[in-house]
Amino acid sequence: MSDPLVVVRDLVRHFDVPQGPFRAPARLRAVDGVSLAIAEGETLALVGESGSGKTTLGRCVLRLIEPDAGTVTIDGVDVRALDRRALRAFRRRMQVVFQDPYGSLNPRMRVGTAIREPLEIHGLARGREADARVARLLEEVGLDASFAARRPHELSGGQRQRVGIARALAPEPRFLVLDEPVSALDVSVQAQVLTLLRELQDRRGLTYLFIAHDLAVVRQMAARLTVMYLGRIVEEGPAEAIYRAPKHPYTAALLSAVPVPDPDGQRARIVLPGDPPSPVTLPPGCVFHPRCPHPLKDDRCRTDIPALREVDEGRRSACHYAEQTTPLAP
Amino acid sequence: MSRRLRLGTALVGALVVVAIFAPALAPYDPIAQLDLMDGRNLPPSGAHPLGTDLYSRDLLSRVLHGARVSLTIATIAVVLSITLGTVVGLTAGLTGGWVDAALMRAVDAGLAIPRIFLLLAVLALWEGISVLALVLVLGLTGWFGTSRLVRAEVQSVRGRDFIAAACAAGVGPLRLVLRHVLPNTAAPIIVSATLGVGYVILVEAGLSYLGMGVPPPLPSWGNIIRDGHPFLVLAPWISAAGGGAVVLTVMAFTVLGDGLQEWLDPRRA
Amino acid sequence: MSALLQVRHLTTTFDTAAGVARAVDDVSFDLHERETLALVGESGCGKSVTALSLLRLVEPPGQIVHGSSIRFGGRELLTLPPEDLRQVRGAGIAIVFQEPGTSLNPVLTVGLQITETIHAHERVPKREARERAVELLRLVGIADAPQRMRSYPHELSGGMRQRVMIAIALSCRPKVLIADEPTTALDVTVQAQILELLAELRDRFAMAMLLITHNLGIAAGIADRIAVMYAGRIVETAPTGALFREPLHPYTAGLLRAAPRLDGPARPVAASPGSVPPATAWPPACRFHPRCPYAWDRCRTDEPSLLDGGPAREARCWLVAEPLRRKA
Repeated sequence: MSDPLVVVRDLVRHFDVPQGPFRAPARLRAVDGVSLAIAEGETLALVGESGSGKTTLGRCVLRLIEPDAGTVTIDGVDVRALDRRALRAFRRRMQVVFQDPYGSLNPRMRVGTAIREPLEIHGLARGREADARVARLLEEVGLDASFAARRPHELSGGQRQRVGIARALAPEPRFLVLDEPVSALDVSVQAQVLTLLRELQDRRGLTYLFIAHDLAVVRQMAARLTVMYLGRIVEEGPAEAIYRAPKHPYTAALLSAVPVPDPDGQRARIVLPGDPPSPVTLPPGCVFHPRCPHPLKDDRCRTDIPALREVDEGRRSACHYAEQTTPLAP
Repeated sequence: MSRRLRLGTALVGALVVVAIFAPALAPYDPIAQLDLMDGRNLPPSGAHPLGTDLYSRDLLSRVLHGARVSLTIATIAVVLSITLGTVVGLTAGLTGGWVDAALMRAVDAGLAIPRIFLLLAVLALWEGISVLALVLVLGLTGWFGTSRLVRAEVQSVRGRDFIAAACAAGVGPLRLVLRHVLPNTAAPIIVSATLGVGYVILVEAGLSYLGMGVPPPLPSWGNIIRDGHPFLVLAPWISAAGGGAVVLTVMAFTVLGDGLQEWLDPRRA
Repeated sequence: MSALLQVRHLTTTFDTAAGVARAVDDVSFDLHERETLALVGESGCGKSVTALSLLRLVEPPGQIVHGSSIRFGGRELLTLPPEDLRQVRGAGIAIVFQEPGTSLNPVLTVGLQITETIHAHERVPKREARERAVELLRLVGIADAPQRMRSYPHELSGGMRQRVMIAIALSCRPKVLIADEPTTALDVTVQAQILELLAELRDRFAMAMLLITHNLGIAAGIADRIAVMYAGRIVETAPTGALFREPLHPYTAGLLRAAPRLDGPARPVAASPGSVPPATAWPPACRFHPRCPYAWDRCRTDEPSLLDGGPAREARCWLVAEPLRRKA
C-alpha cells in the first residue's frame, strides 16, 4: 500500500516470569517479531485467542507498554523515538477503546469530566467551550447530553462503552486502537456499537486497529485481517479471501469453531486438541505444530520455523504447507 | 446512608461539638481546686454531675476539657500518620522495584514492634514531654499499617483500564496520581483514618495513665483514670468518668469507620 | 408421556434498593427426556436466575414466589424437605456453571471435588469413588487422568477446569444437565471442544439438557428446541429449525438480524434500537413494545400471553393473532 498511516516493523515484547527464588526467570514471548501496516481510513483486524499477544501488541503500538525492539511509525513519526513530553503531546493523534466497560472508566469521575480531560490536557478547549464539545461528543455516540452528569456505575455496559468511545474521540485522533470493544456486550448492544463505530469511521475518516477473537464480529468491521498465534503472525490478507479459503490450519480451525446461527448450516468442526499453550515454553519448529490438524504435517514442522511468506496476491501465511490448506476449511 | 453511618456520624459529630465548646459547656474550670477541705472525692450530685476528684476538681469539666485534649491530639496525630502512610504507600505501589522493596521492609520493621512499646521507648528518652512532641511521636509511629493498605489498593488500581486510558489520553504523571489513582484509593485511607483516631485516643489514654502522656494538671481522659486509680473502691466514679469517655469515643469512631467502609465500598465499580 | 421436568408459573423476585425486581416472571416450560432445550436471551432477561431457581439455589434477597411449581420426575421440588432436595441436586439434576475459575474450590484437589460429589449421593468405598473419578476425568478428555486427580484448579487451564466441572456434574449420572453459559468464558477453539464434549456425553448418558446461552449459534448447533426469554418472560418457543427459518416474535427476529455471521454474503448487522429495561420496571402490557417496529395500540394496552403459532410453536406477540400486520 502506498504511504500507510501506521507501520509496525519487527515489534518484540517479552516478559520475564519469575520461576521461584532459585531458578532464572522464564521468558514469555508475548510479541515475537510482528510487522503490519494500516492505510489511512482502513480497518485492520488483529485476531487471536488468549496468549496470542494481540492485546500486548495493541498496547505496544500506542506505547502504553514499551516495546523491547522494533519500530512503530504513525503518520510518519517514529513513536519510539519521542521523549516523554513529546509522546504525551503526540497522544492526541492516537487513542484507545478498551474491552471492559466496567474497568475502563474512572468510577470516581463523572462522565462529562472524563470526556473533557483530553480536551483540557491538550489545550483544545476550556470552560463552556469544553462543555459544548462534550455535549456534541455524547450526542455523536448516541447518548443524551445529560449523561455528562452521571457516574459510570449508573450506566449500562453499552452506555459505558459509548462513553469510552466519546472520550477517545475528544482529542480528534486519526488512529484508534479498539481492544475487543464489543466482546463484553450482548448481541443487540454489540450490533449498535459496531454500527456506531462504522459510522464514526466514515464520518471522521478514522483508521482502526480492531483487536478481537470473534471472527464473525471482525467480518463486520475489517477488510483486512491478521491472525496471531503465540506472539507471531500466522496469516494475513484480505478478510473475505481468508474466510473463503484460509491458508493456515490455525485460521481454518478458528473459522470452523465460530458457532453458526443456522441449524441447517451446521458443519463438522475442526476441533483442535489441547489448550492454547503458554507463551513461556514455545514448542520447537512451528509453534502451532503440537495442535495442528493439517494432514501434511510432518517432521519439518517440528524442526523448521516456517517463515511468513507470500502465498497469493496480497496474502501471507506462516505454514510450510500453506498452499494445501484450503481443503481443510469446513 | 445506612443506619450505622448515621449513628456514627451523629456520635462523632456530638463529640466534636463538645470538644469545641468545652469551655462554654463546662460548669467549672477543669484545673480549679474548688474546696480542698470538703470538696474532695465527692460522688456525683446535682452540683457535680460526675463527682469530684482527689483535688476537688469537677470531673464533668475535666472530662469535657479532656475531650478537647484527646480529640485534638488524636486528630492531628492521625492526619500526620495518614499523610505519611499515603505518601509511602503511593510511592511504593507506583514505583515498584527496589524502592518498593526497601520501603516495605522499613514498614515491616515498624510493624514488628508493638506500638505501645515503641512509644514508651521513645518517650522514656524524653523527660516531661510537651503535648506537641506527644502528637509528633504518635503520628510518626502510626503510619505503617496505612502504607500497606494504600500500597495494596494502588497496585490494584494501577492495572485497571481507566488508568491506561488516561495515559493514552496524554495525562501526565502528577495528574494521573492526583485525579485518577488517589481518589480511587481513598476508601481504605478514610476508613483507616477514622479507626485510627479511635485507636490513638486509646493509646494516648494509656500513655497518660502511665504518666507519660499529657502532663498534669491538663486534663486528659488517661490521667483522669490515673487520678482515680488509688480510689477505685472508695470513689470509683473518678476512673469511671475518664474510662467511660474513652469507651464511648472509641465506639463512636469505630461505628463511623464501619459505616464509612460500607458506604464507600459497594459504590465503587 | 409427561415431561421429565415441568416448570409452571415460576416467578423469582429480588428485593433491591430500587424496588422489587421480577427477574423471572411467570415462566413455564417442559423438558423431556433426552431432549436439549436452549434458553436464549441477553443479560437481564432472567435466564440464569431461572436455572438457579430450578435447583433452589437462589439466595436472599432473592426468593421464589409462592404459586411457582417445579416438578421433576413427578415430585414437586419447591416443597421438598432439605434432605430430599439435596439428593436431587447433583444426582437428579446437575449444573455446570459459566466461570470454572470461581465455581471450583481453589483449595481442594480436583479429585477430591469429584469424589466428594459421589460420596454425597452414594455409599461407596473410597477406592471405588476414586476409580470412578479417574474414569470420569478420562471421559471428559483430560490426559494423564490419574495424575490430574491431585491437581488444584489453578494449575489447570480454563478449558480443563470446565471439563472438570462437567466431570463433577456427571459423576452421579443425573437425568438432567443444566449448562449455564458453559463456554462464554473460554477461547473460541476451546469452546468448540467443550460443546462437542457436551453433545457427546449427553448422547452417551441419555440425559436431558437445559442449555442457557446468549449465543444463537451455540443454540443452533446443539438444541432441539429453543425458548427465547426477554424481560423475565419466555417470548417464543419453537423447534430449532423453525425458529431460525421463521421467527414469530420481533425480538427473536431482531436477535437474528443483529448476530454477525461468517456464512453467506457479507452483510452489516442490523441493530435494534433501545435497550433492555431494568427488572424493577418492566414496561406495561407487552414488554417489548417500546422497541418493537410493529407495535400498535393493542401492544401498549394488553399484554399478550403465549399464543399458538403452529406445531410446537408459541410466541408472546399479537402478530400471531393478527399476522396481516407483518409488513414485508
